[in-house]
Amino acid sequence: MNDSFGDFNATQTATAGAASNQKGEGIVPLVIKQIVDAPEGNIELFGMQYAMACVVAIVRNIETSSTKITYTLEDHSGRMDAHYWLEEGDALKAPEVMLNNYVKVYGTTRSQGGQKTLMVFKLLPVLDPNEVCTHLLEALNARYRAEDYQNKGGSSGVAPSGTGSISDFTASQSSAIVSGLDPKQQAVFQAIKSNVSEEGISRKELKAKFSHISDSELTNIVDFMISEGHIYSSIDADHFICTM
Amino acid sequence: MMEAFDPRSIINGGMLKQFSGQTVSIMVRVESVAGSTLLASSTDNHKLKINLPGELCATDGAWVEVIGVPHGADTIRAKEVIEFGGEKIDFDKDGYNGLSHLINNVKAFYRSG
Repeated sequence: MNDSFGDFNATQTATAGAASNQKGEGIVPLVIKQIVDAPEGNIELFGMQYAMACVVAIVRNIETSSTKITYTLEDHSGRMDAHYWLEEGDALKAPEVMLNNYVKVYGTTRSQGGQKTLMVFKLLPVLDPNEVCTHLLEALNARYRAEDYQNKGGSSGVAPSGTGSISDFTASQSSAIVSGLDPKQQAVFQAIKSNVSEEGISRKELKAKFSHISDSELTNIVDFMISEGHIYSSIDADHFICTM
Repeated sequence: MMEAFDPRSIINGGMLKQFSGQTVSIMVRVESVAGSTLLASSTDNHKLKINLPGELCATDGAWVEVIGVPHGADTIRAKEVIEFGGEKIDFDKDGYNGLSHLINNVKAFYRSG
């Protein structure tokens, strides 16, 4: 895998006082036009930030230099270049791709002079046309889910608790979605995650935030998330901190 | 030298007429090849006649992607045909039909908030 650049510790979350751009997590499936049209900066869809993008495209051109291989990728929506950086002695480890065949590419995006490039983390040949179809369906799904999440007030319930200084803590707007949680569980999880105090958020505060959820349902939600490993109890059984 | 990029719509057999004259991409199953004519069937079971730009070595029964311009309801002038490496692919026709309908009917796909 080409990990000679950047920091792929995708499970890192922003710490209090971190620089203003927070790290996204996860991989989002996109079509090339979405990348080409996107503004400069991190990969983002309706306010949700991602560490990496995935595209499925036809290789139209391959150019090798001593430091990198440049692939020209094309799908139905657009065309863009992708750079695969070579390390010493890497020429033999370059991915095996054929011209005018489909590949699946994972990578980060970079803007240079208004043009977007994909920095390749992994490139694999696509042998089954079902993969192309699935990728497009996944891209459609990701885009409309992201909008939906934003419309349902994805970052609601993140009012800071206590008097801790949260001015630099932009992760309170973090919208990393934990899979396997339904919307209610997701909202409770976000509330726990956005609490920055040392002891975590208390059951009492959670009840106040989620007054529409009954006590027993809230208990079930919290117990479920503890059993899944998303949160844990801190100073006592009524204070919670998230594990991520 | 690469050709300039031309955006294309992903369609199935029933949509050929609607996209007549426009560049499309369509998955088809090879029925037979004779010279520069490919006879194929689409995911929604339409029989199509595809005029090829050159030779095609695809096996009968293989699924290929045809990029080109439709004329009428059952003919396509192909610019190129993309083959896939896998053998005896069980291509999900229903999935592809669903995709071609969705991708051409969703609203504002390229918005990003």
